[in-house]
Amino acid sequence: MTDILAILASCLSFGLALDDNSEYVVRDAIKELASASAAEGPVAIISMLSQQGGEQTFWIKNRLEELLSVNYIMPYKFPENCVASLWKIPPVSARVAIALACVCKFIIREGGYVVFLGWNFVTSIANKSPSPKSRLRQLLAEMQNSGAHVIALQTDPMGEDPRNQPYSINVTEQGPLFALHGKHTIADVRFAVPDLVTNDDVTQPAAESRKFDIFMVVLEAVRKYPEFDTYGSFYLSQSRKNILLPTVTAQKCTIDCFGHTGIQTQISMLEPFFCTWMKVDFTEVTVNDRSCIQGWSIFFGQPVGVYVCSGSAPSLIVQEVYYRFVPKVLGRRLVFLHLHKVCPERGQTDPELKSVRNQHRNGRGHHLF
Amino acid sequence: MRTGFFLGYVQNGSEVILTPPELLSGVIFNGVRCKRIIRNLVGQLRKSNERILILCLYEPFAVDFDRRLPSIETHELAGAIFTYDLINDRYPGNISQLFELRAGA
Repeated sequence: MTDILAILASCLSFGLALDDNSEYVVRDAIKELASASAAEGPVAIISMLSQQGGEQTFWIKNRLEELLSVNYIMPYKFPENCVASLWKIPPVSARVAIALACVCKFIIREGGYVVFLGWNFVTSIANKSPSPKSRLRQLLAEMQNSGAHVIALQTDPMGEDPRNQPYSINVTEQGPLFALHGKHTIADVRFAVPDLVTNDDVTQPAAESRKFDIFMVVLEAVRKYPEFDTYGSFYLSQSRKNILLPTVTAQKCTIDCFGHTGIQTQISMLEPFFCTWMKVDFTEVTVNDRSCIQGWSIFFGQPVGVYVCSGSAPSLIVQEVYYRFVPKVLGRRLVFLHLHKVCPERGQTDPELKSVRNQHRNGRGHHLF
Repeated sequence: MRTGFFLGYVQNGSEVILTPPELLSGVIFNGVRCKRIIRNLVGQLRKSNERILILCLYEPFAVDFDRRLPSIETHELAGAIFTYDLINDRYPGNISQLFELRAGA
């Protein structure tokens, strides 16, 4: 019971569902609930809500009635660091209210960082009507003035009202790059930080996407091993598929795949002079054993890091190859080759893959394009 | 945090750092791929033993941040906000007070 009451209370008290004057009504109701028996309290709340009216009231009232028969026991432990899955709350206004309540009641007063995933929902509340808008501004101002560290992620900048954008630092995705705009800072972030890959992440479904900008690891390695040549290859994330890239005729390039363990893929490229993303038609590229390409590795005379993708090696086919030349970084050039993989239907034989394997067995391993 | 958050490199190889004074006013990340940066920031924060609360308002982000931090159920979080302290006739203003209230109960 406590959950729905808390949703109700935060929703009302933050004035995002009904109006600003509802706060004390709900507080009185909860106070009464606290002193009442489990059955009488919700009834009192429903009774008050019926008098109060409002769009959200109907939903909350129904939920309260549904939960009346539930003998709910709430184990409570509030960890120092946690992820709160507020998306499970159906009304957006309640979702936002809970989020703001968390920030205003806990984070601000005790310090720390709060990360909003889906900032759109917060600002969408402010766009609806004047009352929540003013209340939301007040709450955001309170957050800012109290020194809260807020990190907000929004994925739908369309329809965003700049007046509801309370923060002075923006990091915006722009194609493969990120742009940082601040009061005193403007920068094109060419290589944004990668995910911090841990051992646990390798077994996670999301591990694939976390290797997305793994070339940041290359950059770090370049700084660490300045005396070595740098080669790198890694998979292209699915999200890259829709990026329009110019197709070019590839330059001198050798793709060596060796070994059958599936983790060693060395790619070297000569004469790099491009500094943009390009797509190379697969028809122009031949890899001597595609079954080996199922991960990426970086070589600096010796491997400094190897990550292995999950999945069975024979099912992997290189469909498209992308490469990117990065202009001089720290006085050196870097080359990255992205390999996009597809997994054919299980049981199907891929004649092209079979052909390439035969080629490899016949000793015609190296191919140029 | 002493040095701030490492955000990435610019073309000339210099680092882009978000410092706490900048963060005090908040940072907005626009774009789906920014979640990767945020995951990294969360990782840096954890290494610095900072308190972090991730509020996931959008379902598709849930899997991206799964197991990054311990999960807290909605009802636990919501219940914590408006748990009424009957003895002191007040609502807990922060987590410490909440713990005191819970311990007393």
